[in-house]
Amino acid sequence: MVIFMYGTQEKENRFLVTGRRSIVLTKLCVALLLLVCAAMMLAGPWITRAFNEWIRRGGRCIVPGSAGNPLATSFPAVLVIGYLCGTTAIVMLLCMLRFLRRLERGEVFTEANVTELRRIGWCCGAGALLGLILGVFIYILFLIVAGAAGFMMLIVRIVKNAFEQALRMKDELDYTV
Amino acid sequence: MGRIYVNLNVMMAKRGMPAGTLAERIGITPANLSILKNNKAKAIRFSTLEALCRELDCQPAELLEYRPGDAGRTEDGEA
Repeated sequence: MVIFMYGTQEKENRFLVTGRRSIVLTKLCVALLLLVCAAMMLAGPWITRAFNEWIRRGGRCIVPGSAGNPLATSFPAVLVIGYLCGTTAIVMLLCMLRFLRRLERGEVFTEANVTELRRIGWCCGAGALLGLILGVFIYILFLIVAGAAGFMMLIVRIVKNAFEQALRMKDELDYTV
Repeated sequence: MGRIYVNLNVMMAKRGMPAGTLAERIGITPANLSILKNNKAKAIRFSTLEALCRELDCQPAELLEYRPGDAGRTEDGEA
């Protein structure tokens, strides 16, 4: 019995350490992605010019006729779409970072986390919409990004609904005497 | 829609039982007893009800009361 209890305690401790490590690792990845996003936004005009040039030269997988499409070749249009994508990504990553920080503090089923998940879901939706626009009018492969972001939005919405339900159950349990 | 009220204050006053002593005797925290007293509890365990009836020497019906059309109100009048 003692051995069993010791084993359980050890398992629990290991689980806690692994969980904490996993959160730290995820936070690092999110922070890294944030840096990449910020760098891409700073280099926005340069990337847009390179992209426009690539479209004009008729790169692979571009939508037929997009070389003459003003949306694909116009510098301000692509720059605006790019900055919209970047802003969406940064908002989503900041929400993820806040969410992870709360998880680290042990605040799991809270109203704030549900709101954060809702925001992440909307950001995924916005990403899917922007990907769809880019995929239909400029570069076909962006349709894959749109599909992935749309699917991600569905998953995040399901997790958000589960958190909402769990929050209700926790509330009930907290007030059960 | 009605609501179940816990008339713990009345019964405690009748028996002259202080909240701290009752909480200790039934094995719950004073904070949880306060939740029960102020009608903020969403559910009550049979074991808690049993302990309350034992310590206050009463029946569950003396502790619980159904008031129709009074949903969401606490003892303090809080909505």
